Amino acid sequence: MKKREVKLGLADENIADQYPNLCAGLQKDAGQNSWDVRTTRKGKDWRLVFNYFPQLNSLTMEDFGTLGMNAKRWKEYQSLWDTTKAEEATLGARGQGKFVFHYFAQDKLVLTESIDDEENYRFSFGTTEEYDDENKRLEDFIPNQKPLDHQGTRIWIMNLKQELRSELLDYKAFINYIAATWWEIIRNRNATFIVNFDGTDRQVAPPELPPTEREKVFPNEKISDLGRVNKLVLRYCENEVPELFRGIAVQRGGMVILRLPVSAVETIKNRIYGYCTFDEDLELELKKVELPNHFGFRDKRAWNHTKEYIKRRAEEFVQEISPTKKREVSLPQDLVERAVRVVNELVMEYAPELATGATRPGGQPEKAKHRPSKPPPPIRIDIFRGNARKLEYDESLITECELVNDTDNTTKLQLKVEVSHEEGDLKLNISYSIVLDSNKRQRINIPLVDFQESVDKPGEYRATAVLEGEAATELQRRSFTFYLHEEPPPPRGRVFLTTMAFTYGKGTPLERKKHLPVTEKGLLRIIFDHPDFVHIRELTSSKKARMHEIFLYMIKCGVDEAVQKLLEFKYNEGQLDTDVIRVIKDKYDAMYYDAVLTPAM
Amino acid sequence: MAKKKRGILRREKIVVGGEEIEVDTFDAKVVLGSGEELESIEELLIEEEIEKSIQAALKEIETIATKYPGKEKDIRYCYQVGKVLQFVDNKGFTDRRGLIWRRMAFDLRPKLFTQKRNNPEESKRYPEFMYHLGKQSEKNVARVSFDQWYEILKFREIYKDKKLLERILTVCEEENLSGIGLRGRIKELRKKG
Repeated sequence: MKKREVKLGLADENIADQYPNLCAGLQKDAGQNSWDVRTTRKGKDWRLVFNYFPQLNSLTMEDFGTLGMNAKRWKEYQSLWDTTKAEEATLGARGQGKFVFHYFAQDKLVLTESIDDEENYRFSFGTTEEYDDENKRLEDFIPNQKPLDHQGTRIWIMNLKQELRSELLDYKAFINYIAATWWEIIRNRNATFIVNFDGTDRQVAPPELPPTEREKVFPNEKISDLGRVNKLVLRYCENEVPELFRGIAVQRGGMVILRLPVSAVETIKNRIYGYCTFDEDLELELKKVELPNHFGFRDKRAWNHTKEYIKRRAEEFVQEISPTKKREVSLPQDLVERAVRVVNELVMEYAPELATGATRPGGQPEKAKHRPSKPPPPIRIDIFRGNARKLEYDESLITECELVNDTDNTTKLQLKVEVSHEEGDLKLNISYSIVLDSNKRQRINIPLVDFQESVDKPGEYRATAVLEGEAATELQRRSFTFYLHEEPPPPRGRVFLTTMAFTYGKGTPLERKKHLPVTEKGLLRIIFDHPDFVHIRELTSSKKARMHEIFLYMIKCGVDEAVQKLLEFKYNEGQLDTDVIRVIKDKYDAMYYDAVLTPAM
Repeated sequence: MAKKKRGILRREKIVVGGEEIEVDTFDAKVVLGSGEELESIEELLIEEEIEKSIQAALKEIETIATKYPGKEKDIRYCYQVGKVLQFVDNKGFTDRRGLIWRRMAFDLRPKLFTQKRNNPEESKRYPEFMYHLGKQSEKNVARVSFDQWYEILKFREIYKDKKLLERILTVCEEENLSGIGLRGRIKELRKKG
């Protein structure tokens, strides 16, 4: 066997692309590397200092109260993607965080000093491709600079890239990132972060958040067989919470991995924050599915169950504090599929008559297209859908289900939900007895369905919900199909939008438009140089983020256009009154909101 | 595997509110549900980058054009422009250069390339000639006339054989050939190797 040649010259750039915000990522990686090797469990005397040296245009990250690197840790640090660490509860996940440090350096040069508990001093210099820890000393790079003189580690990012420097040295923003990420250990363990970018030491204080109007603490709860949620705290504040702190902080290893947004109207969600901590078992399970950039989790079982738990508790909380009951809309996880559905489902749900333009392969024949749509039954399954059209093993089916009773009578209902493979194997069979009050909507919490390679067959699955009335009469039946470990066929049926095209508008009559009306063939033409679109593209630093933003913008245009058409349609039908407008607006807000919250691609 | 279609911005006429207007539209289109949405957005960004490069190149060419009032068939002008057109190689757009030439010489600034209004296909010829001319040494460019270079560069990448090119240029200088005569001579020289 021959060793494969590895070219790491661009590894830092590829990795940097994975970070939604590089400066936030830098402090996160530095903090995590350092906190993980604190000398005491509670982090006594632990300190991390970020220092900028203008004469060298270099940034140092120096930690105190840590173990420093002994020979083993030194070797691991110099290695790449040391996956053995992913199995350990306390250490970094992939050994790739240091690439971010290299990315900030103009010539990718990073110097590292460390002193271990036996007072052994180690020094290395290196780029993404190579390093040397034998032939040079710190003084060879920085004359007259005293070497590290205490147990711990100091990392030098040499000659900061000009294009990143001003953003990085915005100390207020940097301090905010630290406070937003590390508030838990700053508050509970007295962990000290110092930022000195202009000659002044500034200690990061716990964030000051608005006074709490209402608080709910959910008790310790088991999450499937994965472990336990130690604490879930939700707070509704008197005023708006600063943007960086909104949502529910999902904590791991003392840091915030992500903030799960709360699904609520703008005025409410902007005033909610909270956090969730886990026991060691669940932390370890979550760590296994954590993204290497520490900014999120993969949609695997551990995260799906945890996220669902948090979301459901957050919904309860929102219901409690909302003056009116909110109608929740959430859509599948997969971005592309979600995006396609966002626009087309809005139309199909509210005005299927609008979706007469284009037909997907296998769609309905021409004569069937103009069939008038049936009004929905007054007692019905209003929402019944899965989180993705394609699932992989170790992922979970999350089913969203809502019932509606539009009559003036309270009704006893029976809901039967089944999930089965195309060959008949039953995966889920569950029944609910429900009493649904008049003019009410109720969400049904259907359990998550996990799939394992050793147990479940790949292929087409169907989820069916049957709603029965008091005399076991079937009121409605709804279903959806999804595919396990198999590519789904292209979607069929009528759609509102099929294609999006992009046109420059400057100097033409389209200059002030965001997009043109959708054509009969389902083509939506978006104005590429509309200032709003340009602004969105310019705001993003990485290609990945830019693509994500473009996609969201496209979807927003699609939703805007759909709502416009829907209003026109309802008006022409003489159905447009304030209630209908309000319903459309609610749905529109929820779709918009959901599109914005879609995880990055 | 089918080759992916590579695109660019094009000028096209569309009807908006019953009125026909001319707009610049990207070839990249996002077909929802195609499973290639992300690739299409990636292509869209490449096309945007190409357009920015084209606009920058045209600015440079406009500056050059001010120094050469009678630019058509001016070999020095063509050479200078050819140098600018090397951006297609430098930025990795070589395989789309036909589309780029069409965009520059048909859609945007035809007069910087030729005074005649050509069709889209013919409009590519001048920029393509300039692009290859821009790869020659300045000394060689000055040795023969515009018409002679035009004939020489009709032979694809002939200039990569330095010895052959030298022989062709010498023949041009000594025998003052052009048109069909020159093409015949070049064919002979190629056969001789």
